[in-house]
Amino acid sequence: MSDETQISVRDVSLSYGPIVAALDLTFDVRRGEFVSLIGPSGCGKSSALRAIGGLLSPQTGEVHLGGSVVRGPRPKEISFVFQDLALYPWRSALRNVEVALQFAGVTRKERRARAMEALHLVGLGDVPNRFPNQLSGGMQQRVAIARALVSDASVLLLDEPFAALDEQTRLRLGGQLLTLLEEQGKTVVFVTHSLSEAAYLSDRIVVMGPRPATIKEVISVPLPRPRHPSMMRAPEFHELTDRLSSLLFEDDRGPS
Amino acid sequence: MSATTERVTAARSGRNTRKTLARQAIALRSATIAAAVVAWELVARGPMRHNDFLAAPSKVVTDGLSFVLQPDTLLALWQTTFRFLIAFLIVAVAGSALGLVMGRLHRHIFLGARDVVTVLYALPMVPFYPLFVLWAGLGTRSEIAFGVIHGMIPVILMTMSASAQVEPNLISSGETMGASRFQRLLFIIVPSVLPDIVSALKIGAALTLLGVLLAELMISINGVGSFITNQITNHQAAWLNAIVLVVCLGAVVINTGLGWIERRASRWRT
Repeated sequence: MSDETQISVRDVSLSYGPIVAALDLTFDVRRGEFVSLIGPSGCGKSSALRAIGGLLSPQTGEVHLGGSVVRGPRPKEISFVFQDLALYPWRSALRNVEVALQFAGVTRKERRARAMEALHLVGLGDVPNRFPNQLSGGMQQRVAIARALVSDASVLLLDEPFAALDEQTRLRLGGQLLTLLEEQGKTVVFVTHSLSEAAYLSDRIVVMGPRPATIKEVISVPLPRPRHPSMMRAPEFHELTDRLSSLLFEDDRGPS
Repeated sequence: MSATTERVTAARSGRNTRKTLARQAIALRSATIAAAVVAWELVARGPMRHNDFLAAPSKVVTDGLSFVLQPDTLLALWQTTFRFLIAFLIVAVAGSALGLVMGRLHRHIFLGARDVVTVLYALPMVPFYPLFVLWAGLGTRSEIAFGVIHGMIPVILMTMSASAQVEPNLISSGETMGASRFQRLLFIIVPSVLPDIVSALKIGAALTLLGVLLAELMISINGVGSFITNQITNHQAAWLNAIVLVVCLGAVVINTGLGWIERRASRWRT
């Protein structure tokens, strides 16, 4: 990770019509850093991610990427993995990965080779011709990640990509993803509502309050890299998750 | 017997049971159709033997088949087939294109457009046929136009609803990968609604044929519809029934063909 700021979110407020989703968000992400956004459901974490990805224009404030203001999707620099994965069910795994290169105008031969390579990278080199409905949830997840990696964008935005998986698979896949992203030097912004996932994967965690989302605190994770599952039993890990949960629950006024 | 041979034998007997079941299913299906034909034969020879418009199936085959093969009848069949094909081509291309685009319009424009199309769908078109003749003239053009209007409305309606419901994240993901507006239409919206378009075309084909035949039955000088009117006037039950059967056969062929395409196009949907 370098000290260079790659993504800079400045006083960003987001709204859908009259509904304010987020207020005055300000945080930075350094090149090669893994930053998680956590907060209660519906607090506007996903909206913040969409704003970074250029899919949602801020009402006020700006998002900067590599020094220039983000005004729309930037496929060469940012790839996005959606919560529902947004795989194209009529395309095979291989062709789902290829589509990112197809839109970028890469020739058929090159995109086939690169897509195959990306599938190998996520451990799906043996099932390129299966369709999404023939793959398990975890495998679909890997296809979506391969599609995001194939374009060589330096920033990866992940919107609760493991939400549909069980805790075990989620942490295992997360760990594998982490290793892969470290090797490739990607900058990652990761939305999740799992405290242990955020603590295990991130360099820093942006904790958001209930809607309209504001930033409550930005916490640096004290665990060294590379991460290992045994770290989840370390006292620092438990201190961190305790702190996260007390931050998240302090506004909770009990069942409404 | 070793475990492997046991498994092989079990698999084989499983296959055989499936084959037997499939054979039984076909037998039962054929028997149902045969029973309907026999019932028709009995009714036509029994209580309705003096009816001028219903002939027994045996008579339809013996008298009717030779009639269908006469040059005049073949010409009428060709005229109707030609009109249907042209009308259906227009329905398939223009109907699905219009539906695709209308489904992607601004939400409230889409809803307004859908109201208009829904009213048109509910409206019986038959009373307006004389207007079509006045606009397009008597003959092939007005018959094609009447077929088009019947088939087009449901195709537009079904396609536009499907196109409006494409999963928004599929389109957003296209945007994040740099797809242009045209690429999103061609590579995301079209494939995701293709199964709905084919289902719509199946209904559209039946209604297009209906429109062409209605036009021919009402004000027309040739084609199958006009031929049917003549056979009714001439009390030629066997001929009448034979040509109706040929129309049925045509409809079955179209429906089966489109059904096959529909199954192929929607294989990825579960």
